Amino acid sequence: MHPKSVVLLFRLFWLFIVRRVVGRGLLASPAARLSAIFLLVAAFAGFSVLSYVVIRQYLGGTGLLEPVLQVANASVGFWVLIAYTLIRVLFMKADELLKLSFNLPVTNKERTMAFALFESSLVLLVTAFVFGAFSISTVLIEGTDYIPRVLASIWFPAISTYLLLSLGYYLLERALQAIGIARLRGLVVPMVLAIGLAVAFPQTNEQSSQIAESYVSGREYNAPILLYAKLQEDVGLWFSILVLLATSAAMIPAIVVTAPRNYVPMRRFFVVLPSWLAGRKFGVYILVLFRSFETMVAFSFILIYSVFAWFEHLVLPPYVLALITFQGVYAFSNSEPLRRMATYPGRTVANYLRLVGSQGVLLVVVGVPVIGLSVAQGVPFEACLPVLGFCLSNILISTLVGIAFPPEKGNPFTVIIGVLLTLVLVMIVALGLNVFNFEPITNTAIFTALNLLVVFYSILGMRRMERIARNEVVA
Amino acid sequence: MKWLLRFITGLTVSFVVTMIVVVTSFITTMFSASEMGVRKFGLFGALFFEPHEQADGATALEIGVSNGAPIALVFSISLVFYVAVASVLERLKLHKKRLLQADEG
Amino acid sequence: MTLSVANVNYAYNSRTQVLHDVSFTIADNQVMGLIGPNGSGKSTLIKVILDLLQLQSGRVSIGSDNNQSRSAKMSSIYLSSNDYLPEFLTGAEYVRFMHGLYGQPLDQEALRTQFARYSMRDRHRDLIEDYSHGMRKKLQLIAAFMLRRRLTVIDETLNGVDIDAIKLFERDIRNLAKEGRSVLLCSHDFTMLEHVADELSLLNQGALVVQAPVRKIIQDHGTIADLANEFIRAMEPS
Repeated sequence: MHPKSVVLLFRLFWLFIVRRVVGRGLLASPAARLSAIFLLVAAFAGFSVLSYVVIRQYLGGTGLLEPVLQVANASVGFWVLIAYTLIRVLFMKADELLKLSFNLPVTNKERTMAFALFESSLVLLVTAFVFGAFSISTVLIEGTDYIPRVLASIWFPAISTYLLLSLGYYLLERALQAIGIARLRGLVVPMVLAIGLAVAFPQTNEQSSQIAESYVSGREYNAPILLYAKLQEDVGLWFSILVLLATSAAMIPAIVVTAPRNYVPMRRFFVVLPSWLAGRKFGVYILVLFRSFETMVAFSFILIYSVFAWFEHLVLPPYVLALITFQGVYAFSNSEPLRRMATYPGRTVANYLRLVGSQGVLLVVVGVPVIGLSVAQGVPFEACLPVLGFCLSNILISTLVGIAFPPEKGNPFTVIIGVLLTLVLVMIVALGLNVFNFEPITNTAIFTALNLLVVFYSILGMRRMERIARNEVVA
Repeated sequence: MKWLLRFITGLTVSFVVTMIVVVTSFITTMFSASEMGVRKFGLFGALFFEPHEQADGATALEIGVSNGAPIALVFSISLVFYVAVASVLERLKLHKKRLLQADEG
Repeated sequence: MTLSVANVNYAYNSRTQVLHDVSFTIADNQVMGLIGPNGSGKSTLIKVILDLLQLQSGRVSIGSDNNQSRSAKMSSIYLSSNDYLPEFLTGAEYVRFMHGLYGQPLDQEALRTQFARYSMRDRHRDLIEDYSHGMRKKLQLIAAFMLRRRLTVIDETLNGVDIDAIKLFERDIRNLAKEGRSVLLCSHDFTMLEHVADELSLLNQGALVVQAPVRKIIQDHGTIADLANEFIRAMEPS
């Protein structure tokens, strides 16, 4: 394996992402690009300021930061697993990105390693966003002496957890290849990760409460994930770094050896639902939605969560349903061939209604049993209605995200930027309206008007893209 | 149609900008308030924030709008600013198109 | 007259004029071959004819209808050069969907026969995702031959298709013409064009420089390839 080829490929992937992300959809205009960067930086800054103010106000000078840091340390594994799951699921669609390198003189091993490097740089970005604010504010409050503690409690365990997860993933991929179901990894891998989350969540909660109890009773609490922090405290930061380097030095070659030698294309669609649906335009939109592996992944997450909630007796409204409504992000791009293959693609409004209507059908199909299960567990039906309202709104919003930030060639970065920007905007509007203390009826009217605006801009976006394709307007 | 679309987009952008300003002012006011039962004002007296201690010792927060005028002003300024920028951009585009045509001619 | 193209000009921007005053017609029961070097404007011309690109000047009619009308779109079918197909459908579902778009009932027996003829027996239930490049092209051809529109436009669809399928395709195209339908066939396979085309048009730098019956071209130049070579030599700077 030539490291130089790996680095060159890694740079090619980044070049592709940067050029494709900033050159398409809404981000094609320099003003929109600047606004998006500003909004993301402002969100991170706001997140950091909020974290600083909260920590200073509630924990500064109380000595409580110590156990809070330990609790954060204990939850690092869980958070890295969430970031890993997010990136892994998004990258499941990135086969097309990998195909970019097929005509280059590189081995499959080099291709896999370059992709792993590329993927880890993205996980690092997500982790920096999640833990960055906490780390910065902790050091600002407690001074630079706290840097070694933050490093050993947050960043070192995060690096080791990521490497461990990568090793686990490649082992799983090898196992799937060995038993001949590697093409199904798009479904199997997210299910394994979802089970991992279902197991890690109660364990992290249990560890957190044990840390709190130990602190109150003055006992010392030990767990494998707290190893780096313990070594840093007992011996020193240098020893902690040494152990990190030693474990990484053992794990990285193991990852290189385990990474599969041959490339197996992933199955992206599964034959479900009868063929006669293909005879109707709306039927075909239902087929594209139900058959895509993303829907299967969301469905398996919901299934695993529902089973978990049933056995753990979690009496919560069915928030998990929201997962199925994020399919809208891919709805437009997945159904693009349907509008391109015919000389008469149909009216834009009708196509938009088919896009959101098919998602409505999916919501009903998944929503009825999930809500039924919630009600059976004791959640009042009225408590499920706001969740349903949110889901309907999310279908409209995520469809707009998919139109404004069209994910091309399975490019996951476009989706991340689109979803992040939308989340920031939705949170700002929700929080802003909350300040006004409107009557529920007024709030409902405002949200309905905002959703209509979302529909309006979606149709406008679709029409504009059609006109660009016909060279009526310049992109 | 073009102007109607621009107007709707202007209203949307101004609404979002107003919400950003309201949320930022609200968070700033929230963290500058520390005494129980003291009402703090933000965004030139538009928003108020008041923490109360309840009988069970928990802290209740009272938030709201005391004067809508500054918020309406923020909205109007954003709208005017958007319309002005959009018009200037439109004219610049038109100017560029004319220059290109003159260059070809 | 099935297709009439009159004085069509097209430019992607003010500096790049792609088509220059292109005019030609395709009669009923005629197969017209369209050739030209890369970048000569063949795909642009096809897209303008089918209203996939907005007509800027000139006139295009399919039958007696303007090319933008619904009836013109319903009487034509386009086989694009790429294999950008809905991969979530099976081969049979794709053909069913195309029939749905044209409001025509699907004959299951005919579908199975066509799949068998094009060496894809029992593959109609497989997802297009699992089809090879050549199979995707064959699927497009099967849909076109089953739908039998008044005008069939084929843009380099045969690249990557095996020799047996090409022979079958030549027979099917001739049958379409015999039934009074017209075909516009853009290809770099000159031998195949000599077998199936009645007329030939050569597009060079956006202008139609030759339009003549294939029989006459063979009489005057020997082969279509010889005609193309003569043009290349004429274009070379002396």
